[in-house]
Amino acid sequence: MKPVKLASDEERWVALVAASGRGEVITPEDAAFLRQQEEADPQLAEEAALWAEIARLGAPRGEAGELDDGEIAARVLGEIEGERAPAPPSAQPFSAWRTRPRTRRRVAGLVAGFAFAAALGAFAATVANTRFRGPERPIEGLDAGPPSPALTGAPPKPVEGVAPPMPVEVVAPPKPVEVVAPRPPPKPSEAPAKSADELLGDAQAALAAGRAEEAISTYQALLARYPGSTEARAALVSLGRLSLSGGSAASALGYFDRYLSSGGGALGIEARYGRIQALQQLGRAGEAQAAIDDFLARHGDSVYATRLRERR
Amino acid sequence: MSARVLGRPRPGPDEAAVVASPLDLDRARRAGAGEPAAQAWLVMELLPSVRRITRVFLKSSADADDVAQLALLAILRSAASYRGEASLATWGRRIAVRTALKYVRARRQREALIAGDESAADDVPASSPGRPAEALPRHVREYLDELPEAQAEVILLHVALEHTVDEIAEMTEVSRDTVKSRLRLGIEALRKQVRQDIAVGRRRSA
Repeated sequence: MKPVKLASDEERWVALVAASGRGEVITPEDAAFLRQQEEADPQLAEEAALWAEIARLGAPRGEAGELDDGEIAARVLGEIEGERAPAPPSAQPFSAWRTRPRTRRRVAGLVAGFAFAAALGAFAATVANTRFRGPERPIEGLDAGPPSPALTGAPPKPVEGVAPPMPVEVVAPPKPVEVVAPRPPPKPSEAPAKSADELLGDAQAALAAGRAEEAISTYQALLARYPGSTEARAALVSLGRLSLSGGSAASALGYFDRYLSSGGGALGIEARYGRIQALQQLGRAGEAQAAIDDFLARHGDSVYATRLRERR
Repeated sequence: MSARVLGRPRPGPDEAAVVASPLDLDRARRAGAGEPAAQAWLVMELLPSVRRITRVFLKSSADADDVAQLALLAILRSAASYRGEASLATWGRRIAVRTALKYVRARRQREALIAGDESAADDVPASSPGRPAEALPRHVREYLDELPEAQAEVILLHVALEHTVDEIAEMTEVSRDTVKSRLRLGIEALRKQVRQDIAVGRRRSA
């Protein structure tokens, strides 16, 4: 295969490496594309860190001086309230710390309308902890009936185009995507039977659109309906990767092992690499090291081998 | 979660959610009208994406926090004009990107005028957690700083924030072809810099 020549291939490679750097799941096909490109031009693997780091620039930095979300929200809400009402004499105007980044850190907490911001901060925390399963779910105190007089101090205004109030559904904070036991495939009367290839395409499309749970259920349906197919074997690797990214290392290990025990194939490199990651996440250091040694013996020239050596 | 790749059919944020949900539209309007509860909801709803944007563009955490607040204020002040023509998230991201770009450009102009501006000393490279220090010969910010400003902006918008060429063209107010050209040139320049560094065996100092 020739090295990367086409702009589209180059840009696709950059986008995929960046997505991988953000910890996103990429499909086995995309992984194969990355491998092909990097094997054709080994220097690409050395560049990968650049794009992965650029992709991670938006991640929290974990620095001591970084404000938390609640503090930022309280300051903003205090400032916007201060635009409607004069700030109390003791309050620090927003513009002061905005233009003096060092000074404003010493006066943290003296933003305009502190008491108001604190009240709204508490409300905001409630909202932040309230997860609704879709955008159409009203939030108690916000959509269902008039807002609290304590928050508004004014009678509610008429609302247009709002759905009727529904019970608030407060669920637990977001969890990692969990891969559970395969769901039974739909009955023939429920949906027209799709081929293995169509199911694989559906799963990949869902994954590309960010619908991880739908992708998982479709991959699992593929496994259940066509367990011996090539597509189902590819699905094992995809499910392994999704499980890894969702924090379910044990499930991931199971999927990778199933793929490898069924004879391996074109995705053997991805499966073995994923198996190493799963073992490391599970804290099984000895097995992970053995898996790394096995990987390097089998695929010593691969891009993944380079990464594994760098981490040693 | 999706890998957004140029040259492949993929739904952008605008295509995926062209119309805002009725509840979002109503809440935004109420926030624009000054209803505190709706304002609080709007801030918390958009805060994660706004912070991600400002971290991408600002090197110091203090600046990133400041610009995040400026962007959220701009969002609240613009909420009354939100028409639901794009999803709330897309609309908020646009405002945040414009705010961040405006801040960065103004700051660069100031620094160009005032040699040795002490604020430059605040520009410590921002690290990503868990990043292997030996992965790149130099810090990623150093590579980006060597690019022309317009190319660096496009790289950050596309690679770090996953905006499409069309979205970038709108945000930066240039043509689609200009964005594509800047992206291509920026990628080429960055690849060349990294390869040169690796070739001479340059290693990042601790």
